[in-house]
Amino acid sequence: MKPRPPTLRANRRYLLVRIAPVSFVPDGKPLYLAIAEAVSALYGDAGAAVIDQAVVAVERGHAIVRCRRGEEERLMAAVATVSAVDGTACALHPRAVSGTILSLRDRLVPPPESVLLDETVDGEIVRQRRRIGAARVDVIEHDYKGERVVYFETIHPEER
Amino acid sequence: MRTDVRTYAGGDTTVERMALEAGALGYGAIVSVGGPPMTCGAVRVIPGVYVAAEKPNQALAAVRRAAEGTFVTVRLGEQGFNRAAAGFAGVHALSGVYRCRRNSFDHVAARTAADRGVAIELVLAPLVRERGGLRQAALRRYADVLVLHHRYGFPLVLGSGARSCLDLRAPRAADALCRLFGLDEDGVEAALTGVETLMSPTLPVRVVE
Repeated sequence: MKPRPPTLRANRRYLLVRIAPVSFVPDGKPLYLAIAEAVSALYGDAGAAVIDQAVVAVERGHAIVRCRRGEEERLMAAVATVSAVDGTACALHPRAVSGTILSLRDRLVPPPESVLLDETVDGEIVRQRRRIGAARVDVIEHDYKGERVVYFETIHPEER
Repeated sequence: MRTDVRTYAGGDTTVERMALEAGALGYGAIVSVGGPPMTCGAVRVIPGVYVAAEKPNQALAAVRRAAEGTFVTVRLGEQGFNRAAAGFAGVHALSGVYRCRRNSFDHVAARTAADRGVAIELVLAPLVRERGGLRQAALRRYADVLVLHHRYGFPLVLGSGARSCLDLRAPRAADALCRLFGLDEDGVEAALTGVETLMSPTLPVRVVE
C-alpha cells in the first residue's frame, strides 16, 4: 500500500506519561485498552474517534500515547481517570506533550532501579520490601494472583 | 504554593510517602486528614479535620473541637445544613457537593460562604473513580458550583481525595479534569494555591489603644 503524502496525513501529538508505581511495567495492549476505555467512558465513541488515541511505546517507566493534534487536553483528562491496568492499581501522570516522539524520549528520565531490602514468607504469600531511590519503599506482595504493591512507605533518613 | 487539600492518612500509604509523591508531582503542601503536622522534604503536611455530621449543632461542636492549625472541612448535606455550615466560624472549606441533591448548595449558602471566606472543595476522586451516572452527576454539581462561584466569588479549593499515593493527580492532570466542568487554567491555579489564604485570612485593621 502506498503511504499518503505528508501534507495529507493527520497531524499528531504525543503525550509522555509516567507510570506509577515504579515496579509496575504494563504491556502495551492492556495499557491501550485501559486508556481506550477511559476515553470512551469520558467522551463516548464519537469523542474517542476524534481523539484517535494509541499507545506508541512503553519504556523505562513511561508510556508515550498518541492523539490527534488539538485533542491533547482531552486525552490528558481521560488518562488521568485511569486507575487500573489489567486489574492492577496504577496511576498515569502526564509529564509532557510534544509533536515528535524523539523530543519526548529526550525528556524521559527513567525511574531509579529498585533494591530488595528484605523478604518475608507467609504461607504462599511472599512479601518483599523494595527501596526505590533514596527514600521510597514499596512492599510488594507475590501470591498465586500475581504481584502487586500493597504498601507505600519511606525509609528513615538515618537508614538511607 | 500548590496544595492538595484532601488526602487521607491510614490508607496503604504512609503520610511521609504521600508527601514525597505529592512533592514529585509538583505540590508544595498537602492536607492530610488524620495526619500529623510535619514537613517531609520540601512538602508541608497540614493536618486536616473532616467533619461529617447530620445536624448543624453536631457539626459546630466538632468544628470547635478541632485543634489550632488544622484545615477544617465540613461535609455538605441538606439545604438547611449547608446554609448553617457556610456561616460556622473556624471552617475553611465545605466538601462533598458532588453527593448533594441538586440546589442543596444554593445562592444563600454561596453568599454566606463568600462573606465568611469559606471555600468550596472540589474533589477529583468522583471524576477519576466513578463512571456513568455518578460521574455525570458530579460534573453537573461542579458546573453548578462554578456558576455560583462566578456570581458570588467564594473561593474554590481542589483535592484529590487520595487514600493511596496512586490516587494523587498532578496539577496538570487536575487542570485537564477541571476543564471538563468549565474551570479554566487561572481558576485551577487559584484553587490550588488558595489554602494559605484560607488558613491565614486577611483581617480588617484594628486600632489597639
